[in-house]
Amino acid sequence: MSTITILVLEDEPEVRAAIARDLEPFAGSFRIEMADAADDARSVIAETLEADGEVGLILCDHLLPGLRGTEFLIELDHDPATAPMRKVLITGQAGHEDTIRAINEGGLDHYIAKPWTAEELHTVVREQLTEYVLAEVEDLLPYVNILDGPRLLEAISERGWDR
Amino acid sequence: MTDRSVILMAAADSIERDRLRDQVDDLTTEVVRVEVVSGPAELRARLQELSAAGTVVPLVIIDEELESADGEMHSAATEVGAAVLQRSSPSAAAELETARKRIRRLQRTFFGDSGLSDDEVEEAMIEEIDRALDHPERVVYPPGTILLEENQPVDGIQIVMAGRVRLFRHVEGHDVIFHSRTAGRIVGLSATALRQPAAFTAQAVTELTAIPVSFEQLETALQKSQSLSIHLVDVLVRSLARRNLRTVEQRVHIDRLARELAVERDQLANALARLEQAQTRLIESEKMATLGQLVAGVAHELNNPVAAIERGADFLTEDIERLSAVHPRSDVVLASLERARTQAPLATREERELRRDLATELGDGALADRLVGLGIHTGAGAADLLEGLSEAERDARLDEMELYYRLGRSVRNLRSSASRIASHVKSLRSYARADREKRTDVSIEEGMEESLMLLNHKLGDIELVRAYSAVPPMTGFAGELNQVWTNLLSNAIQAMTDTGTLTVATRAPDPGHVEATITDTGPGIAEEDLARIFDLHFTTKEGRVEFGLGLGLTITRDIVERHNGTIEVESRPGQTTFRVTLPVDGVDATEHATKD
Repeated sequence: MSTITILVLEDEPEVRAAIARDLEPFAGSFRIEMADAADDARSVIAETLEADGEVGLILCDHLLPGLRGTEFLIELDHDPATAPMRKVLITGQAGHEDTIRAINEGGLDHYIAKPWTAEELHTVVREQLTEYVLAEVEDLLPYVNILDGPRLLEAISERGWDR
Repeated sequence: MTDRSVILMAAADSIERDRLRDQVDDLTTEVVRVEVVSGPAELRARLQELSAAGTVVPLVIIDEELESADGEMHSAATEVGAAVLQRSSPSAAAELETARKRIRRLQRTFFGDSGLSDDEVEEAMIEEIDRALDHPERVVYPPGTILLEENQPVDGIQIVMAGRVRLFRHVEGHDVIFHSRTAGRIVGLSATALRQPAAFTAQAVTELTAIPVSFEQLETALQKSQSLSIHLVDVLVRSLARRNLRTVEQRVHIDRLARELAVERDQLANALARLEQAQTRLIESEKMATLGQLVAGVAHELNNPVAAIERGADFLTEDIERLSAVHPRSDVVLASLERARTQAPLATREERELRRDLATELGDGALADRLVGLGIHTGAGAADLLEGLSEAERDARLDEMELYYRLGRSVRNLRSSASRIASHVKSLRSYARADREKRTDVSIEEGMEESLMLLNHKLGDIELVRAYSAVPPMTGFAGELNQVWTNLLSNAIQAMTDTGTLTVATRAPDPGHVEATITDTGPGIAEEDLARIFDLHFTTKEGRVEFGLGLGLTITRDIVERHNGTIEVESRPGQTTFRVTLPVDGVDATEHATKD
């Protein structure tokens, strides 16, 4: 089984460090990669896919140099290779219209407003990763302890019965 | 030239003729010549001929030898209004003098000589009337008497000898009074001559002495006296000329009044526009003042927690250092803390490359990840720290170092974030000028940067190009000038919607001036709009107003002008440039910012 990557796209180093720190509870089971620009995020995704890995979740800032976070999320959603990735916008500044568009065009799964709390971030990441593994991963057992255990166990038992 | 005036001389012989001719020699001129007749029959015939031809006979000289006892020739002469000179007459000298006067007058009238005053012409006419009508009666009118009435038929003229007459016309419920010189002393003349009803009412202002001359009397007089008709025409022409002149003068006067009215109307319209402008400016400056207070309040509220965070970060550092001092491997953990506090964060791509390189070097990806995360980038650095440790000891050491590294990172991030907040607060305060606005040395570049910081979130994909050159500071109101930059930048960004290039530039075109240009690559301003872009209320944003921003180009121009500067715009599709030029001296000491 390959390790699922959580990708953080955030241009400000202080904020990036804070998100990384808050993601530490997931560091044992997931690979956490940082990108400070959309281009760099594309590289990380490409390298991950090349190494037969998968990016399960992206946490993306909205105000990025040269690109809006929503635009990038929509771009990822339109590419079959990255479409399954769960996409979360984490920002203090997305305009109403940008957000609506991102939701309508399917790019956005969740929205976290800055400043966030560790608990809030954990909840969102856990939920989104749970959705991802339910949809994309066959062996759910390794994730029962770190993600939404009851849901995963339910799914395991359903799948077990199916077989 | 046809004869205008002929002196007839009746003389029997040549000696007598020559003697008489001597007496009138001085009277003969180009228009007056002497003609000789031999007796009463010839005199009468000649008088009739001359009268029919319109020639005036001012004087008939009769040789006493020729005159019959019943004075036949004398009667014939006086019938046509001529003076008669008889050598034997006791009044011969006076009659000659009268004749001289009449002839001179005629001469001057014929020549169109302006030497004859209106009064003299009128005098002459009165004399002729007196002569023709045998000195008609003088009538005294009390003040207020209406001599003739507007739109009523006129049956004669009034020759005013003494007193004042007022002429007026009733127009839309008001009496329009004419200049007294319009008519002169002969009232009703033009109406009579033109066979029209009176154009105005004539009323005696004072007691009036006048000669009423009926239409019939005038006819009679005109038949009797050729010279009367000449004077009458002269008077009439002069009167009409006067009226014409008066009309021209009035026309000129009306034109001048109309021009003055137009100027006043423009001034009023201007004043109204300026008032409206002032009102808008007051509203805007009120808004800015409110914004300023708001920002000042928020800034104050923010500064306290920011100070606490900054200080707290410093205290944390000190306390952690003290705590670490008692740590068994204090050198190692303190070094880790110090690295985290002082190393600049790496670009994510760079960090990945370092991890990759170190993983290759050490042959251990997980270890490489941890080391790079601790700011250790080389195998040698790793060896220094981990040499001779067992795997379990190594992990414990790394755990500890990571703890201290994260502490250091957190402190560093606290500090840098707090100072970023502090700098934003400072910019906000400086932008909104929470402080009372004073004349200061203003840096155009700083103002532009502060405004850009506020508008940063609007930039999106728009590329920003800064082309600042070193320019001297200028004297002005920094907050007001910031409004100028913010407004122009905001307009430029709005013009480009999503993508394009925003270029801000400064330069000093000469030592006394600074110039700032803001160029966008938007669709440009239509030529018909360009002329009125600085007008009040003109907007292409469908009336959208943003609080504190987009103050309108009118206000922008006002501020620039208050700084004795100029603002220009050049636009074509794909490139619009606003150029603000400000004198280094800027505002005068007497100027006050609108906020004061």
